[in-house]
Amino acid sequence: MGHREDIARLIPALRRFAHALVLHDDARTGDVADDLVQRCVAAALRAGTQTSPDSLRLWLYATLVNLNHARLRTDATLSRNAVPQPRSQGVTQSLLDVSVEDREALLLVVLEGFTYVQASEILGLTRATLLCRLARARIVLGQHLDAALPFEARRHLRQPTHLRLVK
Amino acid sequence: MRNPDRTISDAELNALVDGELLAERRAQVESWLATEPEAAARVESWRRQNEILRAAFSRVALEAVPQALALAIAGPKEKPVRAVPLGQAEAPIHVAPLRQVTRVGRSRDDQQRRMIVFAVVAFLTGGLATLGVAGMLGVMGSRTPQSIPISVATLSTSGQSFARRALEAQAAFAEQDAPPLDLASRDRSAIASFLSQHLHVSVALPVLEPTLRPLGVRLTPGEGGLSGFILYDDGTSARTGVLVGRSGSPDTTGFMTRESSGRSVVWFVAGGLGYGMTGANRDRLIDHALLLRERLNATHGRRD
Repeated sequence: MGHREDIARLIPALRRFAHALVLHDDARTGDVADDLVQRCVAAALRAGTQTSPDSLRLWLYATLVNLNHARLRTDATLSRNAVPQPRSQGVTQSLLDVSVEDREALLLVVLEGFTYVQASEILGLTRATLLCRLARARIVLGQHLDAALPFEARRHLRQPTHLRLVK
Repeated sequence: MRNPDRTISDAELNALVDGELLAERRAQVESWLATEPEAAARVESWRRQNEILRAAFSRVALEAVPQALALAIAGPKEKPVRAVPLGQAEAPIHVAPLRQVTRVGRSRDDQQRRMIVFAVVAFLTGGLATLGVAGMLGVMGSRTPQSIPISVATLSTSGQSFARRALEAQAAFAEQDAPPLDLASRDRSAIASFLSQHLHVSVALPVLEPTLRPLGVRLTPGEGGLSGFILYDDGTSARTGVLVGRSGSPDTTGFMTRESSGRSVVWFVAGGLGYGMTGANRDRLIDHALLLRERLNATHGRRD
């Protein structure tokens, strides 16, 4: 059936998204992420073939996001943003400081190449809220990644004026 | 709140980075940025974040799909065909694509058996070839018109990993449903300067036209930094690529080759950089690689 093949074709990208989204950066990361993808695929197979490949793609990502929310709610050992940190490094460490909601927005647009319209649809947000989350994710990520730059390169990198802390 | 004199919002700067602005507005924002170093640096920082994110996770999408997941999509009655994951075998490797697995499940029993036998043979061949890389290269050497020197001794681990990454890049970025390039450009010098900037090493791209016309470049994770996968149009419907990246191996005097799942790579090391020519037709790749190396030598010659 075309439906199975359509889903199969999307699995590598779904796994990439799930791995970046889950981000425990310990031995369980791959298992948790792949489990999410598997449940997502099972749901798509149950849902049948009435969608076009384009809307199937949006549907799969939306389902993955929802399954991840459900997992975070029910997993008593993990709070939403507090995940084990000691062994992580580099970009993973930086992403850990970005909230799950902001991370979803950033990963859909940057990693998966969705347009703002598509990402808003997947996350059920207005464009303005999506942009807000994207901007916030980039600021948090920048605090980590830009700190690694030499001083000269950091010279111009100050936070946007409207987002500076005020007393 | 925003400074009153500020004409471009952060939302628009984000949209610029994400390719969401129409051409006219993009030009306006870019010319405004030219006068605003602070905003320009922020935009540059976000672009760098994008590259780092893609480089960090693109590997996951290139891995073999775990068996449990492959079975879930293949359906309950399927018998799995053994798929050797990309990158786990040192020898030429054969991966049964998911689509093929699904098709096996729908076909008759005898076809299923044939596919399983094929997979086993492919797997054994892969194992034997670990010992027989020289044999594989010998075949190649005998068919090439100019008797290119083939050095088995230079098949180091890092050389193998370079070849594997080149094949992975070809599969991910040169075929159907490929994600967008980081720089889509037909301008050779624009690609060379983009690569030099991101690989932190001077990359010279010789003229390969009219045989190969550049289409753009995608950054991929490499050894000790990023590598660049340059996509070329070789006049056929299939795309050819060249992976350029730092190589831990010494310069090679000959070509090395490797094949996997109908894709081939022909690679060599020159000036500390590895060049892996990838595509479907190995004979044509050898011709392309000869052209590339000849032009590279000419470029370096002129520089001396």
